[in-house]
Amino acid sequence: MQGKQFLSPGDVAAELGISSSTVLRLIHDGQLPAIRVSERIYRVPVASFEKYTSGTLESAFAARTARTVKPRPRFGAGERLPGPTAIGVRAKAR
Amino acid sequence: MSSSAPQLSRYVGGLTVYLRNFGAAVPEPELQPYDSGDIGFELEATLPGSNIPRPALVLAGEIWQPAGRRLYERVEYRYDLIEYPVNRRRAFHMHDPEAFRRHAGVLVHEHCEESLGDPACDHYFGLPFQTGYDALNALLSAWGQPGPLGCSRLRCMG
Repeated sequence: MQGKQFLSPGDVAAELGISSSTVLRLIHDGQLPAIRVSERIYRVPVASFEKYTSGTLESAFAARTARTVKPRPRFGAGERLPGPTAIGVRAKAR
Repeated sequence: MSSSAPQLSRYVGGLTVYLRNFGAAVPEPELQPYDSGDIGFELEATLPGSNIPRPALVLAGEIWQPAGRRLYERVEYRYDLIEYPVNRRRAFHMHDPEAFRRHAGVLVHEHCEESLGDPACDHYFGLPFQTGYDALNALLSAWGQPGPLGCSRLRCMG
């Protein structure tokens, strides 16, 4: 596992001494966090695997409500908005 | 889709835990009231892995406006994955709805940068996400994976 960032279900199965289908069941049941890379491919972050094996996966909670009111953020700040002056694919000088 | 403030508090906490269980460092979240009367949240998640030149980040945020009966409706969102270690970015946005509706007849757009800060197109067409979990799943499917993001397969809006 050293140096790896992600594990395949097969890697996890080998580490835990269980079958790959059991690993997939853990993923589908939401017990083992995994990233769905494509339709049939899952990857388990090493950090998630370590949290799972050490029993330190966190449970959902309710965020507190801030006591102070802040200015409404602008999610598009710094982004060039579309319009007559900003149309089209940039011609790349390559 | 309408939600009450307590529902949104649980939603924000849920998104935070979702990221933390992937090993991300996420500061304690808050449901934030804004001076516009809207409420919302912003999360910055530092992902595990290489930190050269900087760790990869997920930036998430949503704004919900009052919709009567103590309910709120989502009006804006941003979900960004910035992978500094591999110098690329993917993002799903809904903001400035009038500008995008006028220009392209859409509410949402995407960003895709195979090389960070050098997009082949400023905005791509995309599909709206029902929930932040869907957006995070889509973003994280690219996290740390080899090969290009596939920006060239997206449709450029301009």
